Amino acid sequence: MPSPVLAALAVLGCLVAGAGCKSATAQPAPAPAAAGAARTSIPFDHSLHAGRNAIPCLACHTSADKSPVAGIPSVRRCIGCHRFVASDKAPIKALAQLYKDGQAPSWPRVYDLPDHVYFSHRMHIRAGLDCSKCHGNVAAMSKVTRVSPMKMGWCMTCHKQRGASTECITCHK
Amino acid sequence: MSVDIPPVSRRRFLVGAAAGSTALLGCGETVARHVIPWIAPPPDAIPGLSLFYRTVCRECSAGCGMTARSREGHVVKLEGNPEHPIGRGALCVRGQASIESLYDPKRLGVPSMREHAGAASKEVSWDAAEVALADALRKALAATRPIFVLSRPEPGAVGTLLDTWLAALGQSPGQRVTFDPLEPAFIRAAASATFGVATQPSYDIAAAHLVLSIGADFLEDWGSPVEHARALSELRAQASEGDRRFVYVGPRLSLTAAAADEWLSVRPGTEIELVLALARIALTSGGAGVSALPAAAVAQLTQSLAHYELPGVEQRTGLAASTIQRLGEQLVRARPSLVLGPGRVVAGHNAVSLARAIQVLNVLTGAVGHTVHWSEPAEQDAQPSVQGLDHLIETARAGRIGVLVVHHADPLRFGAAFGGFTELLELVDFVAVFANRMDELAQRANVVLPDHHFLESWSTVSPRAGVQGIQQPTMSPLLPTRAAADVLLDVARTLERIDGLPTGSFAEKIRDNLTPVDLQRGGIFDARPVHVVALVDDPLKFALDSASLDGPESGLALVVTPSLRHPDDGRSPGALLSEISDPVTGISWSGWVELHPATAATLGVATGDVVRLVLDGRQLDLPVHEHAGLRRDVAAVGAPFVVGLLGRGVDPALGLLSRVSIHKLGRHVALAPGHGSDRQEGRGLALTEAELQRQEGGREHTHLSMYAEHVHPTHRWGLVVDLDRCNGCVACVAACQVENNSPIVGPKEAAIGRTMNWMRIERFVEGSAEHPDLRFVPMMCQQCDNAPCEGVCPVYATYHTAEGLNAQIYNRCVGTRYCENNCPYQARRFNWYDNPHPAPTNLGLNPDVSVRERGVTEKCTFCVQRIREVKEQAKLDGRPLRDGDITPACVQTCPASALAFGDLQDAGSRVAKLADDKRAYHVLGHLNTKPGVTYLARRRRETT
Repeated sequence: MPSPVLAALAVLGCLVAGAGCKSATAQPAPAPAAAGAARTSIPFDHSLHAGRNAIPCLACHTSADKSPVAGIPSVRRCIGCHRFVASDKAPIKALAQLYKDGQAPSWPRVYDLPDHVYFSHRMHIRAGLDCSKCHGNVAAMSKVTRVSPMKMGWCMTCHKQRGASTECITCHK
Repeated sequence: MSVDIPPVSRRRFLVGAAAGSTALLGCGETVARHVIPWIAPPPDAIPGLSLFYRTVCRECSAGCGMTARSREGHVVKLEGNPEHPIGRGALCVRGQASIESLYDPKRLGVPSMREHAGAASKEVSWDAAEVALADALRKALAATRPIFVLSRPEPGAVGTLLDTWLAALGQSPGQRVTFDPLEPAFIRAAASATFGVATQPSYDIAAAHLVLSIGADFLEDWGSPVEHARALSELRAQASEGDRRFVYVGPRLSLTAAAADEWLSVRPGTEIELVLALARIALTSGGAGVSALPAAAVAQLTQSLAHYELPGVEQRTGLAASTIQRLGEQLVRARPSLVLGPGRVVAGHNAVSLARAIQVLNVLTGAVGHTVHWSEPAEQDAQPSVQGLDHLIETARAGRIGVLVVHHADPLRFGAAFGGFTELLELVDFVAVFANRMDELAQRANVVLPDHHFLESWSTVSPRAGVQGIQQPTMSPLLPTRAAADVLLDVARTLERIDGLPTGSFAEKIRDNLTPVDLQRGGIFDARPVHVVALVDDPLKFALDSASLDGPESGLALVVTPSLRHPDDGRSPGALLSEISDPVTGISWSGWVELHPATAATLGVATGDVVRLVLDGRQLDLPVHEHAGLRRDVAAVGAPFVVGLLGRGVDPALGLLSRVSIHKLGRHVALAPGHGSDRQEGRGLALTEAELQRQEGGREHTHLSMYAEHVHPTHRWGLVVDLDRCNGCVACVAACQVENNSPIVGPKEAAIGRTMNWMRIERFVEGSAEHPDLRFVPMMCQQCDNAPCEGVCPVYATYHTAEGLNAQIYNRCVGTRYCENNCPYQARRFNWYDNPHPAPTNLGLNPDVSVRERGVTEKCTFCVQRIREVKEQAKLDGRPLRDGDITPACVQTCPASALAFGDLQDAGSRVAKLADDKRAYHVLGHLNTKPGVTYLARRRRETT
């Protein structure tokens, strides 16, 4: 039986921690979806693109080495290849239709940091980290799942090992 | 009885707490957010990086250059354009706040129409709206009823298009009426009479050895405030090198007057007597300009000025003869000098005469040609005038007007002043309004056509010759608006009246004449040709009377005061401008009437008591603010609040109106104070150089601490605030608020001191009752090395970084407010509520700064996001940081260059040198806080 004192402490802790726990966001509340799995109306297979066809990550996530944000490809970039490649397949037809209608698919985020965290892709690539260090072997994943916890302790472990900054303000904005 | 408590480690407890809060609040991983790709990326856009677009600010007619910072296709911050000759990189508080109107939830997006006056308006398609306007124009043309265009000043491409469009419809140029109610048209009228040049002159304040302002509040709304603030700051910086003085004459100690070495006032309305007395001294004591005048002109002037001997002038103005004599001699000695004016606070019914007298004085002292220049406007826009509006009203009375096209103007905002205008609307068959908001005039229009915001539009803006600023879209239109120019072009094409009009879109017309370099620079700038002017024959042959004030003898002279926070076109200030405290009075949100404390005591009222102002049967209820910097025979009210008192036919550009009677109502309201005490109470916060020397050596301790001193291995960031340059214009406060996503709390919370701005202008009243001295101290987190806030945080949410910042980790903060309580500078702010950012205002948030929420304390970190960004870029470029690479938002926007930021440990940096200046001191340095912010004591105003 759990101790009543521990339970009370936990509840008190919730109230105290509650103030700082919520991550502030400027966006309207998003639709709930299961974490970890990419679900969208258009099926997208990383193992096909990055694996079998060996397309480098930066070919689609073009700003990962230029910007704090890796970016996801615009619909036009998808269509750029798929005008010629597999253009007869149903999902590609659906994508082409979206493009024609001026619409974009909505991708649930697999890796998502709270809004109070500053993370710079370009600085990590500059430091010589491979994408797979955090994102795993995406080339082997049909549906991308999260392989790293993306928790502060996990970040700090690596920062300490590599002698990178451990200042709070480096990553907290 | 004993309770068996299992051992709980601190870590287990916190893990349990975090798990509990997740379950309770649903934060963290239980909700996946979505990411939506671009369909086609905008050219040059890289997600996560900023793009910068050069454009022109349209908040007032000064036309400062602007740089809009855009992130993921949305403008998130506005800054000045360093290459533009007017703003030179700075923006005023209104320019900074203009982003608010871009994301205004009430901005119009869809055209609307009403069948007839009084009918409800309904939203229609753009096609329907354009067809309705074309039909109305066709009918007017068929019935040969005139078509008028009423617009704000548009000195540039839009103005030219409006002219050409009217001409294409076969209308006369006089039917284009420009409306700029607060523009000092009397200066143009006077220049026309004195020199035969009907334009506004430009002034070289920085070059003058003595600046005398006759009520010209040039740091506020007189001319080009950013340019003037920079010039005055340059003049200040040279003050140590010679005799540089600035004297202000006016009924109220305004922001501009507070920046002066000496504030003088004369009996309201008699300013012209002072000016003519000074002119007489200049004429008789060898003013620099006298020798160039023909003997006949000197004889004429001698005769005209004979009446202005000092004893008589002293008696009529109430200013001591010795002071006038001294001022006159200083004017003659200073080469060059400069007399500015008249400003609105001294412009009564004799405003044109007063302006002419000032121009003659500037000729006699040799200022014209040295510090006062006339140049022809590059693209002559229709000059704003009350007469233009009168012409419109008279034409309507003579026979109906077919169509009135209104382009961003609303005379109805000025209440009864344009009383004829309300009546006019009955005499117009069809009113079409281009606007961004449903203002009063739009509510009466037949069709309302929502124009793009100025940050979404193309145009050119030429505030003066040699300056052609390019207004280019900084983002795609947020709403389904259409450019007014394109609507007019569409309609002209429908009517097949296209003579002289561009064939393509308006944007193409402008773009075709520009190179990419022009767009990147933000305009085409060249040296302006100077127009040499000469006095007309017998220049003082006009009525030289003082302004007589109507109203009861017992009443107070009503003065309409300027403010940087008040829009020129009569709009009420937006939420951001309303919440930033007025720098002179410290009041935010509401309107007020200023009275001298002695006058208030006579009336039996005090600050916060509501009084009724009565003028010609019209009345206005406002709370009192006691202002020591006001003449006792004057009551002062801000322009947006005074409209209820404006009589029919009163020119709102005149600020010295009449005498009002004031009645106590017995009600009291709490005015929102932006500060604590008016007095320094001996704390030595805002020091002058002399005061600093007096206390030198006595106040700051050597290092006294139980802990070792902080070591800063690479940088220690520091800020230097030059109180000699700072004029309290509050541009930095707005810049900080926009940059850092600081919320607006509203009047109720502001009144109890819960505003969230990280930076404020502390204002202190020093000096005697007769010679009050307003002092301003920009106050932000001092980034103390020995910080009182850091030691008291129980959760290590605030700590000292290796670069000397007091960082605040928002998601770690639990809101004990210990830090806020322990901060002697009151630099920390606590979020009492969640602050909503309803769409589309959320699009204007800075994505590099988190949006804080209820229960969190927040503060200035010298814009750590900018430090981070610049350091990252330097690392990527493989170069060390250079001095001046990093500019926090406040430093960037300062028109007076009063703020400097840099590395205190880099001996060569500007900030390290300034911090070593003999004027340097730390606010509350005796508390041993070792601040990173250094203040430079004010040099002047020891003798007044």
